[in-house]
Amino acid sequence: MPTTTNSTSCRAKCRRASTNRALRIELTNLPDGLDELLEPFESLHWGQGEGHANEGAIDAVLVVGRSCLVGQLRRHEQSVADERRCTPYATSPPLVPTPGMRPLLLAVPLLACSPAPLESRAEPTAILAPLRIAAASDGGLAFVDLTSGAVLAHRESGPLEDLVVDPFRKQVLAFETIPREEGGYVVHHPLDPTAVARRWFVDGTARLAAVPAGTLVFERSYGERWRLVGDRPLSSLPSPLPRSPFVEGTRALGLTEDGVLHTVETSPFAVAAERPLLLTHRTARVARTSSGLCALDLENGVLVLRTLEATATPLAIRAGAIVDLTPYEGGLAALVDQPLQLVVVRGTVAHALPLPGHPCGEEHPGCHALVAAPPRVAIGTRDRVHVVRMSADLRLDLENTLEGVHGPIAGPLP
Amino acid sequence: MRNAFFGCSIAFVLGLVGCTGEEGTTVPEDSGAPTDSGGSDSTLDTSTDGGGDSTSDATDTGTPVDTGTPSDTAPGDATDGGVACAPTPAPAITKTGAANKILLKGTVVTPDTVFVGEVLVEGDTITCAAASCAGSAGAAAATVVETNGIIFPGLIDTHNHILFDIFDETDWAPTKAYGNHDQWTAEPKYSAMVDAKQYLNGEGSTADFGCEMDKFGELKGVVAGTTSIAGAANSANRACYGSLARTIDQSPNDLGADKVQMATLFPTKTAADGVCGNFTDGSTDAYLIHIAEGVDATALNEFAKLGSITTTANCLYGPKTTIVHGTALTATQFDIMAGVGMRLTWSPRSNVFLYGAGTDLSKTTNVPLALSKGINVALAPDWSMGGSQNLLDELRFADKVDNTVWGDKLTPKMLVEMVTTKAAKNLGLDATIGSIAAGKKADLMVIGGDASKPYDALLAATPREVRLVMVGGVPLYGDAAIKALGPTTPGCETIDVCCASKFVCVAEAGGTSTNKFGQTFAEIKSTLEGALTAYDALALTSYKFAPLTPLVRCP
Repeated sequence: MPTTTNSTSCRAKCRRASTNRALRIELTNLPDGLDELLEPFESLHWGQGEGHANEGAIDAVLVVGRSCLVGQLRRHEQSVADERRCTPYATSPPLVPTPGMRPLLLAVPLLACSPAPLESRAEPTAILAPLRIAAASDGGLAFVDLTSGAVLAHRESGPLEDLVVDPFRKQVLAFETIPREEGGYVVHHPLDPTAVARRWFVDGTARLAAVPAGTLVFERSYGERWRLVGDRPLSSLPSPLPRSPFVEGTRALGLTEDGVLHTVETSPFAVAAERPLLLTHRTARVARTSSGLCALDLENGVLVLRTLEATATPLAIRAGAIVDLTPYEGGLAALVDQPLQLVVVRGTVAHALPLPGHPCGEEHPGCHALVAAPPRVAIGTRDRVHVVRMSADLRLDLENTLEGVHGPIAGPLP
Repeated sequence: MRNAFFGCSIAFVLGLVGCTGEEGTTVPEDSGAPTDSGGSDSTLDTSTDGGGDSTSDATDTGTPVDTGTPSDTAPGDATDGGVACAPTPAPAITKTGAANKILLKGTVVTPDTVFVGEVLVEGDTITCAAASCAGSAGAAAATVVETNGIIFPGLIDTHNHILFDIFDETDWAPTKAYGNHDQWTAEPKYSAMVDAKQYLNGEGSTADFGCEMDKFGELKGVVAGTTSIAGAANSANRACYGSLARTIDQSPNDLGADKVQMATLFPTKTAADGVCGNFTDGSTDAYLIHIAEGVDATALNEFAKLGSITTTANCLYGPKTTIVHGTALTATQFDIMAGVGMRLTWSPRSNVFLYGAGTDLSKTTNVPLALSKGINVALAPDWSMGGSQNLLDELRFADKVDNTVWGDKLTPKMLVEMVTTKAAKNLGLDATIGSIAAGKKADLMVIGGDASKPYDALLAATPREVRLVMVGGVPLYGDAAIKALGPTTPGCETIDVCCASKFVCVAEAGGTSTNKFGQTFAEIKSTLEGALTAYDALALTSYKFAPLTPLVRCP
C-alpha cells in the first residue's frame, strides 16, 4: 500500500450540493500526470477532505454525512481505512494553483468540511469500486461500475421493485417481490461481500428510504402507511405513498399524489408537517436545490418549475408524466416520460435529452430511475441503464448504455 | 328466508349459567364437561320458531329477528309454536375398524339430492356416497359412525384475511360509515391493530407468531365446518400452513398444486399481466381479487380499471376471475361479468360493518341482481373484525340481509351452495372439493338438526352443533363422544365449545420447530395470548389487543 511519504500534497474539499448524500470532492494542486490517475474518480461525489497524492494513489479524507472516511484512492479501486467524525470548516481551505500544477475539477463546492488527519489510517477493510451503483438484473441485484459497465458483484434476488443506498449502515436496501404473491421482502444487502443479507416480509408493496434510525418503509398493504423499522418496534403513521421520497438529516419528505408534501421526523418518529402545495399534475415531484425545495410540475403538457411559494417557471419542454426527480449540481435532474427524456435544470435553464426505452412506470412507484453522479446521470429504465454525461456547457450526451441491468437503480454506493 | 332459530335463545342463556369458561378452552379429560347432543339445554326452552322453517319459503317477508350472531341452539332443538326443542341423538362409533376407512351414516346432502345413506371415506377420498355403501370394497373394514345427523360437504371460505382473525371488533370497529376501502385504513385504532398484526407476524420485527396466527384462524373455521380457506396468509406457502383446514390459496393445501391466486390490492400492470399469463399457461385457475369494495364511485371505478390495467385489454375479464366484494357494482358491470363468466364472492357482514355503520343492511353487494344475471356467487366472512367469526355466522347474516333488504329471495339451499359447490367453482376446484361424491376429497362436516330440512339446519348451526369435521379424511373436530375417531398419534384434545364437550385434533406427527405441526390447540392459544399481552406491554399505543378473541363466540 502506498504511503504518504514523499507524496505531493493536494487539497480536497467538499460541497454539500443539496443533501448529506450529495457531498462532492474537489482535488487541486495535483502534479502533472495525476489527472489520469484520477479519471476513474472524477465523478465521485460523496466525499471531501484533504489528501496526498503519489504515483500510485491518492490518500484522501472522504466524508459521508457527518462521518469521515480515511481512505485511499487508486486507479480502479478505493480502500476505506478508517472512519471518524468530521467537523465543519469555518472557512474553505486555500485552493491556489501553483506553477506546474493544475486544478482538476471534480465537483462544485458548496460546503466545506474539516479534514481528519491521515496518520491514524488503518488497513483497508473493504475493497470498493470507484463509482458504483446498484441495479436490478435478471434474477438478481448487480453492483455495477458505472464508468465501465462492469458488473462487480451479483446477488440473487426476487424481482426488484425498489433499491436504496443506506449510507448509515453501508448497505443497499431492496424490496423484492414474490412471483404470484402480493407481498415481498425488504432485504438488507451489506456492501461487505462477506456479510449475510437479512430480510423481512412486507404484506403488500413498499418503497424504502434509509434514515439514521433505520429503514423507513412506505407501505401499501392493509392501508397506506409510513413505517419505521429500526432497533425497536414503533407505531406506524397512516399516510399515502410518496413519490420520490428523500431524506434530510433525520427527516423524510415525500410528495403524495394529492399534492401534499409530508414530512416526518424519524427520531422520534412523528409527523412533522403536512403541507399542501399548489401543483397541477399528479406526477409532480419535489426535490431540494441549492435555493431550496422546488417542485417539478406539468401544466398543459409543459414542464414547470415551481417554488413552494408557487412561483412558476415554464421550462418549454413537453412531457406527459414525471417519473423521477433528484438534486443535481445544485439544480435538478428529472426523468420524464411521454416522451422519455432526461431533463437537467439549473436555475431556470433546462436541457433535455431524449432516451430510448421505457421507464419503470407509474405502476412501480418504488422504481428509482435516476442516480445523480456528476458529471453523469444514470437512468434505470425497464430494460437497461443509460449513462448520460453532462459537459461544462450543460450539453447532455448519452455516454453509455448498460445491457443486462435495468431499473430500479440506486447509488452511488459508498 | 326468514330467521328460523330465535326460539331457543332463552334456553341458551339459561344454559350458560354455570358454564362461563371461555369457549374453546381446553378441558381436562373426564372433566365432566357436558357432552353436547345438540340440545342439552332444551328442556328450558320456550322457543316459538325453531329450525324448521321451510327451505322454499321464498314468499315469507316477515320481520327477521336474527342479528347475525351465532344461533343459540341446534335447529333440531327448536320447533314452531312454542314446543320445546327436542335433541337429536348423539353420534356414536358403532364399529371400530381401520383408521383410514370411515363409513359415515346419516342424511347425506349432495348437490342434486338429499338422502338417508352412507358416505365411505378411504384415505383422503370419498369412495362411495349412496343409500348403502355395503358393496364398496372398503366398507367392510371401515370404522362405522352413526352420525344421527346431516352430512354436508365441508364449507369453503373463499375470502378471508386469516392472520387478522386473532382480532375481532373489540379490537377495532369503524367510527363511521365509509365510502370505499381506502378511507377507513387511516383510523388510528385500525392502524394500531395492523401494527400489532405486523409485529406478531414478524413483518419487520423479531417476533414470529405467523404460524400460530394462521392455525388459530383456521381453527375458527374448522370448528364451524370449514375445510378450505382462502386466507391470504403471508408470508406465503409456509410449511406450518399445511395442517388443519386446507390453505387453499397456497401450496401447502394438500392438493398437489396451488392454482389459486388471491389479490387484496389492486394489481400493478406487471402483476396483472402476470395473472393473464398464468391463465394462459394454466398455472392459475382462479384469481380472487378485491374489487369495488365500497359504495362510492371510487370503488365502482375499480371494475373498469381492472379491464384496462392489462396490456391485453380485458384479459382479466374472464371465467377464472372472481370479484371479491363487488359492493359497488351495478347491472352494467354484472352484465359484463355474466357475459364472460366472471364470478363473485360476497361478504355482507363486513360490507355492512364498514359501509353501513353496522346497521344499514342495504350497503352490500346486490346479490339477487348478480344471480339474476347468472353469475356464480360464493359467500365468505372476510375477517373477524366486523366480518363474521365463521362461515356459519356469515350464512345467518346473509340470510338476515336477504330477508330485510331483498324480501327473502335467497333460499337456504342457495345460501348453502354459496359456501359449498359455488365456492368450489370460484376456486376452480369444483371437481375436487365442495360436494359429496365418489372421487372427491373427503372434506366433510356433520351437524345435528332436523334432517328433513337440512339447509335450514345448517343455517341455524353453530360450532356447538357441529358434530364432526374432517379434512382429507382426517377427523379434526367433533363431539367428544366420537373422539376416538381422531388420529391417535399424537392424539386429540378435548375442549369446551359453548358448554359442549368437543374434541379437536391440532397436533400432528412429524412436528418440527419449523413446521410446528406438533403444536396443540392449548399451546397455540397460550402462545398467542402471551404474545398479545407482551405486545400490549410494549405500550406503543394506548390501544390494547389482548386478550385473544375466543375460538367461538357464544351468544
